Amino acid sequence: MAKLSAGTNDNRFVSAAGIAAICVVLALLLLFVLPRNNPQVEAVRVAVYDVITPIIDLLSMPFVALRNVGDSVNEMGALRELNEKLSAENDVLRMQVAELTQAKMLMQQYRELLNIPAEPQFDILPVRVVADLSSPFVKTLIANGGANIGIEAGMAVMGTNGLIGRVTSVGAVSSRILLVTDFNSNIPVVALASNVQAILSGRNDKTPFLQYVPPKATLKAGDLLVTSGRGGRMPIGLPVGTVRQVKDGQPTGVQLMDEVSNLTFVRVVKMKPVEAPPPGDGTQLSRQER
Amino acid sequence: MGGYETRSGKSGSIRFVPFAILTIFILLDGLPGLGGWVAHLELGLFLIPLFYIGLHAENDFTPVAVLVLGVLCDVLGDAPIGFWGVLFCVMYVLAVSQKQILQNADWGAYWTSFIVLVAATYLVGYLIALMRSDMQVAAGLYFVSAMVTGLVFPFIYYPLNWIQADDGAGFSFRGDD
Repeated sequence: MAKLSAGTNDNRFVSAAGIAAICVVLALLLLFVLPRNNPQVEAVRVAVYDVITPIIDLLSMPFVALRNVGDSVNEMGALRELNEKLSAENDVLRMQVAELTQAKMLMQQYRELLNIPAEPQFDILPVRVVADLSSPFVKTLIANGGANIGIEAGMAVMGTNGLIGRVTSVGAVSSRILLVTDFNSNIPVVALASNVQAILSGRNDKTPFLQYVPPKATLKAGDLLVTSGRGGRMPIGLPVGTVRQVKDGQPTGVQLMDEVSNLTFVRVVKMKPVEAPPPGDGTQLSRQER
Repeated sequence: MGGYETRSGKSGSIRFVPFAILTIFILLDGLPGLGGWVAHLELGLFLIPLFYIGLHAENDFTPVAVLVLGVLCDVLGDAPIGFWGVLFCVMYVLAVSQKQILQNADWGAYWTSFIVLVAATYLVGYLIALMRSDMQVAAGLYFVSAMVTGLVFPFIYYPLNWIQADDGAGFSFRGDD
């Protein structure tokens, strides 16, 4: 039995302390020298996610099952109420479908009359969330689909009702989704009622907020926000959320359509991105015009 | 036997078990939670085996392994590379510094010491987040996470210590005779 004593371990501790200090300095260097979106680091992350996604998928099964049981028990109690609510909602939706069909037909005719190119079509790719990396520092998810099903970086991701984030990196069988609540997330949105453009930014808490709102904007609490399609990576008109409160003419927060901390399945919106024209063409055209 | 003693592991599990638990906690960190406000917490459960590793440090290269695991935590947790690396190393160094202080200490002193060390480690994390433009931390939830981590300590540390003691490698607390 070897008693812990400083006397016999002095030399070892001096060297161990030195190595520990070197490790702290190394970690600090990594932290402050390596940029967060370094392509090499990103490639390593993607490769690691590809390897561990099946493992995490397996490990998460009991947790998901437990959560599903909890949800089922909760839903059982409110089944009758839910049925009535859904029946009423269904009646409203039937009427809305008829209205939308008519509006779609009219819009198509107007587009043809005005010679406006049609909006790009998009597909929906459902994927399952296998890991939730949300913490006070970062709000991201790992999904169990990647390049194997056609997911690409930049694609919009929706929950059940609205936009929840976008794909930031894609591996062979996994992809990373940056939630709209993340500090580094910025999504161009527009208020449907007033056509006010703004940027939806996260702040690492439950609700994102609106930035760059014009000073004289006429936003009201409850106004619906949808994606504006600016940037060409996301389709126009995906529902995002509603303005929560307006203080001194400026909105204070956005209530998202979905609770982003409790997602099991999400839908990746696959759309052919609208590319910006090459810079050379514009210069040539203006010269010809001159 | 009165007091705090270390014993060399008979099967070498003193090196393996805490590292294995630490790795499992790192992997479990990304599992889907139960939702709600709990999902916003950043529980540092891996700091508990780290505290144990620090108190039992017998190898000069243990901090290197700690740094590697910290970087793994950064990769898996989508944090900036080096963030958990720094915090792991800081926690390790702080735990090593407690070795002498916790000699002959009772379990309450261990718990108190861990809570102080976790608070210090989380504070370092908070300061790092303040220094980086790409990190913003919800301070309230963050420090609640530190508190919860401190409260969970006995549920992980004592079984771990018990496993190790059973193997002939753990600590004996004062009054454990």
